Amino acid sequence: MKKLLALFACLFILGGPVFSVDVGGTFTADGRVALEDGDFLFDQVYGKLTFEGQVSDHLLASTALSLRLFNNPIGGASHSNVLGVDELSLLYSVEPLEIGLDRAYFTYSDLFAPGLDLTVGKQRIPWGVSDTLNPTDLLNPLDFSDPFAFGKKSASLAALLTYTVPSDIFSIQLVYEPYSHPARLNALMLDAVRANMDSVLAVTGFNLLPDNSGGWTETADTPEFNIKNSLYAAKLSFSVPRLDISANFVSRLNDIPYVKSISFTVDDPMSPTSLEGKAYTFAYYREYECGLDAAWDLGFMVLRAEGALFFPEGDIETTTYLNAMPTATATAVSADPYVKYTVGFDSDLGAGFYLNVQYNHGFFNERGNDGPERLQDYLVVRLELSVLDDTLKFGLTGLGNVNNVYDAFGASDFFTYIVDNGGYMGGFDIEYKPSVSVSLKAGVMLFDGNNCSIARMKDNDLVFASFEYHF
Amino acid sequence: MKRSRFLLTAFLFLGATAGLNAETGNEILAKVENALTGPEDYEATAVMTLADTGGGRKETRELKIWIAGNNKRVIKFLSPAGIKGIGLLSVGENSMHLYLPAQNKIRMISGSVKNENFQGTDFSYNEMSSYEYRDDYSAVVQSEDADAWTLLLTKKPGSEREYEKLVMTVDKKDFVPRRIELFRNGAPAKILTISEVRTEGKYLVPTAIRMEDVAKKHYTEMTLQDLAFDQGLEGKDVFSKRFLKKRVQ
Repeated sequence: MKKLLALFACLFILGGPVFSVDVGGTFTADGRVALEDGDFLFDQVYGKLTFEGQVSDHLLASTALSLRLFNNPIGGASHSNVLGVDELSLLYSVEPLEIGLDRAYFTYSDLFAPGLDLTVGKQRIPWGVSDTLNPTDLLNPLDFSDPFAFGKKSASLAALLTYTVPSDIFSIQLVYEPYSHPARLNALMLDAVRANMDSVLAVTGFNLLPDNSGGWTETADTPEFNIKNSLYAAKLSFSVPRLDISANFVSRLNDIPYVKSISFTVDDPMSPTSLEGKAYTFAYYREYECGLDAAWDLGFMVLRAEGALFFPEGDIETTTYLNAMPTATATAVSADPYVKYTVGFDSDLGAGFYLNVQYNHGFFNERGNDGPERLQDYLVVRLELSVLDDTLKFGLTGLGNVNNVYDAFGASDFFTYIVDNGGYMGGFDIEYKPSVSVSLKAGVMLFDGNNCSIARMKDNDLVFASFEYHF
Repeated sequence: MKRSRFLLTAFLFLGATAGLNAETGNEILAKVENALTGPEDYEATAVMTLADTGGGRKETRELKIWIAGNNKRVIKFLSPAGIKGIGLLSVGENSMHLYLPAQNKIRMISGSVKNENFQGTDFSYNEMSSYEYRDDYSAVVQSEDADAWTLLLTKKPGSEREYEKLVMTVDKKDFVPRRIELFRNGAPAKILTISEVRTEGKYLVPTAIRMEDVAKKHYTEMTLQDLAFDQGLEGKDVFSKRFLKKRVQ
């Protein structure tokens, strides 16, 4: 990987005399502290170096390298602060550093015909007109490595062919990705999976036996690097004054894993006296999506709506094995189609105020109408006030979550249901920008709830501060 | 009889003069617009300086603009790094899109922001390289001397412009407004000053423009360079979202 990065850097540097290369970058220092116990939930320094060159009138090349330094030792095996003694002598354990290729692509414009553009390489292809929660933005895998950067996605290796008729009235995009990439998960999500596995174990009663297993054996069957695991997609867009509308189709592997199998091994299946092994395996499944989105400027606000109809490729099942014999099958994601959607608006209210409201049915990692991962409902409200020529910005964020609204209306007591199956996040932040290239931000986020996605965060009330500099 | 004939003549003269003044104000305004919107299209590089009028902190931005007709505009920031690549496409009365390079995303923004300040400058979106007043204001000559007219522009009913009246000083030599005071709630809120006008081919172009926000005691000075006219920008599909995403040198 490092050789590849060095090669890219050399190519751009050597390319300098032939065509001009713009070098830029971003530096961010980010820290978050849990209010409950003072734990640093996140403490990292992030840097991005970008190289961009207009090779010719038609050819643009762009590359970005990312560097991420975690400010605490992380054990290679434990993924926690518990290190092997030998690891104390290793820089990558004591000062863990990630190096990544954020993007690397070229765009050839007016290929064969005016208006026909081809972009090939590692790229981010953001679809959808909504803010933050975009149900139709499916061409890049989610990156949950920062659990609070909702909706962050990584670039993917892709070929994007775009044809635009003059004046933007109509355009078509065709996308092919040789490999449909899995999402990057985080420790919070994996802890939730492990807790769920422990509850499955409790149902079997094997948790009461002496445990000689040595802990869960965890594996993830990531998709084979084979053409059958490609992603392909198409999008048609239309624009008239004040209205942008598009329709899309995507076939891909859902980037969030499901539990394909749970295996228990006991000494004697007929009369168990000890648990000898426990394991689970993640896998991925193909899904098809048909989506629509629209942005409509009403003059005083812009309405944004986005809907995605998903068709999982058959019933996605979890099989439980006892001593390698299948004993039970449960549906992880039903074959029934389901719809994720977002409707909302944003408006400049004047005098520096900006309001953004979104209602979402289905978070990034939710899927299906039933089961533990089913779609929940979210109302997100963001109010900003910019003063002093945008140098100072105050922001208030409110997020309400119900699992889910359909059941709440069906419940005998609507409000009791909401309290028992709902949660919220409240946030306040201040951003100071002494110049447009420098930002200092600080704030607080508070979580509470029961039996819903946001409730998982309720022990993570936090204060945060960040510093960002562009060069 | 003689007296009444004199009075009638005087009335006719006064009426004609008053009518001439009202017409002259709008006529002058028409000539101002003609003088400043002569080219079919043009592109330019602009250097913007943002500063406190008291001499406080100062910031420089560089941007590129493409303009055609009265209502087609593309603006792209070239520097500093924090806003580099951000672009604005404005077509028609209210259709506006913003390109955010960090997200590689084009976002429709509300036409209602046209009266808001443009990216922290003292110019509103409406005021960026735009000299259109006739649709929104009616003008009368307030005063006149050997070198300039002073026009009073009053907002027409139904106009969405932010300022109820403008006081415009127009140079008699070239019909270029040298100073415009923009009034809000009876007091000057902003002052626009054109300190340099260049003749480029057959066109007159204001090349040094300063907008001062009186209440904030802050100003933005914009200097235009590298001007090019009548290049058929519409035919090159410059006023499109596709162009908005394109990188400029």
